[in-house]
Amino acid sequence: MRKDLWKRTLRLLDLPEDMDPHVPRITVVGRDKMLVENVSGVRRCTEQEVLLLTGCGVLSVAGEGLLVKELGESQALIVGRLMRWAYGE
Amino acid sequence: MGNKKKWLFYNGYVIIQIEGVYPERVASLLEASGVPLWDLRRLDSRTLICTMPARDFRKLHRLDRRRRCRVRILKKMGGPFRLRRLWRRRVLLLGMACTLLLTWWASQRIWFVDIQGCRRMDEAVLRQSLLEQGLSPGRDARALVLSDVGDYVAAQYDELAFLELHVDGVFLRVRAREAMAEGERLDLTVPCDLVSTRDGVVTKITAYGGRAQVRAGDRVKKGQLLIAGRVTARDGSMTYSTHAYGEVLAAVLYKAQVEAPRTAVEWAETGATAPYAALYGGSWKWLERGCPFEDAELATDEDAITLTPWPLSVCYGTWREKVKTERTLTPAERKEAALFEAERMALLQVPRGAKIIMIDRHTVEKGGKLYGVCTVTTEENIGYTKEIS
Repeated sequence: MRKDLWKRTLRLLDLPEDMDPHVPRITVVGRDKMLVENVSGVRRCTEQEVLLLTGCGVLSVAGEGLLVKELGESQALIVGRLMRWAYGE
Repeated sequence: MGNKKKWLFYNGYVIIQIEGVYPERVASLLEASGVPLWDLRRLDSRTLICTMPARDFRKLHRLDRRRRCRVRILKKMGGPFRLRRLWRRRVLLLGMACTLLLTWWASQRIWFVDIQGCRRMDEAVLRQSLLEQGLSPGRDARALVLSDVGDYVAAQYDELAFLELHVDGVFLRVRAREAMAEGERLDLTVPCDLVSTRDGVVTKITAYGGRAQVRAGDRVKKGQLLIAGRVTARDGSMTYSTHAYGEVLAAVLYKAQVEAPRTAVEWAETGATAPYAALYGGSWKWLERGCPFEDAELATDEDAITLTPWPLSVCYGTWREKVKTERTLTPAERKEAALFEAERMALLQVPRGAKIIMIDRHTVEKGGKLYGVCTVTTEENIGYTKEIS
């Protein structure tokens, strides 16, 4: 309900969608770094897989030697060899 | 976030191990409560290791109870923990504080005097003059008014136009600006005459430019033309102006007359003494026992006690009290005192560079008073270039 309200407000004010704090924003630099913003928590953290809780569901990041370098201020920086990422429920 | 981590180094951070069924949940809760985490990694299925700020550790303590996880600190790092370790080493801290204090104290002082710009002026003489005005190594630079010292010292020497002094760290930079010498003011392209600066008798004249107007043996007055710059051709056909220059040596007299004093002030010992002691660190006097008398003379022992291996030494001595007494002089003493003072006054008039040929001293009596008279005869260059107007 609250998510819908945010979306409606942004649409009404003609603001970009990524201002919604419930929508994750993912920035990938090469194959080594991934910055995920608007993260609400971490579900699993291993060298092969990192599961992050976001407003759109669980973001699964798979790779090798993964490490959550920084976690805080609703953002997570993952470093390591990234292979794939996908949303799940 | 990188800068934040550096900042946290100064505030302190801990590397923790979270052990339990679901350690990531603790991490998520921490993140949700505004606690930043770094380097999250799994050791095994039940253990998670991460880094967090030390001041937020109490929050974790509350959370892990709810989540049934055990939290253990693996390592404490950062400024506060290092300082805590250092705090136990009091002597080291004291040494550091003393070093800082000493460095600060030493940086406020002048340790080196750098003099530049001395061509005619003797650098050693200038250095000694500055020393007499208190600009010695080890003096507090802020306690001195450098412009006043510069003006005072520059006024003492004819060679100096002015002195520029400024403190640059522990260096006192002295830039001497020298006054132009007589005759230096005009260049050779300017027509000028050579005139006399003093009364005297010419002993030698050499004209390199212009025509000599006097000869050896002539008596000249101050301002008299010695070598003329305006020259007429021998046949009288033309007159032209040139830059007159040359060397004119003359015997010059400097005379002083001083009345003989009737009394003399002398210092006499009363017999009262007081011990003296001073503590030196190198050449710097740190402590000194003051003089209890109004006027006294200090007699120090020759052998100072040196406290090796430190550069400390203790100097002992005795204060001997002295009082001023006035004594009537004998005629011979009056004569000698008058002659001494007259000679001193005459010598003070002699310019630097003049060669003293003869000193004549005698006494004269006028109106019942005794005078000491001294005449100093010098040989000096009396030529001075004066532009032809």
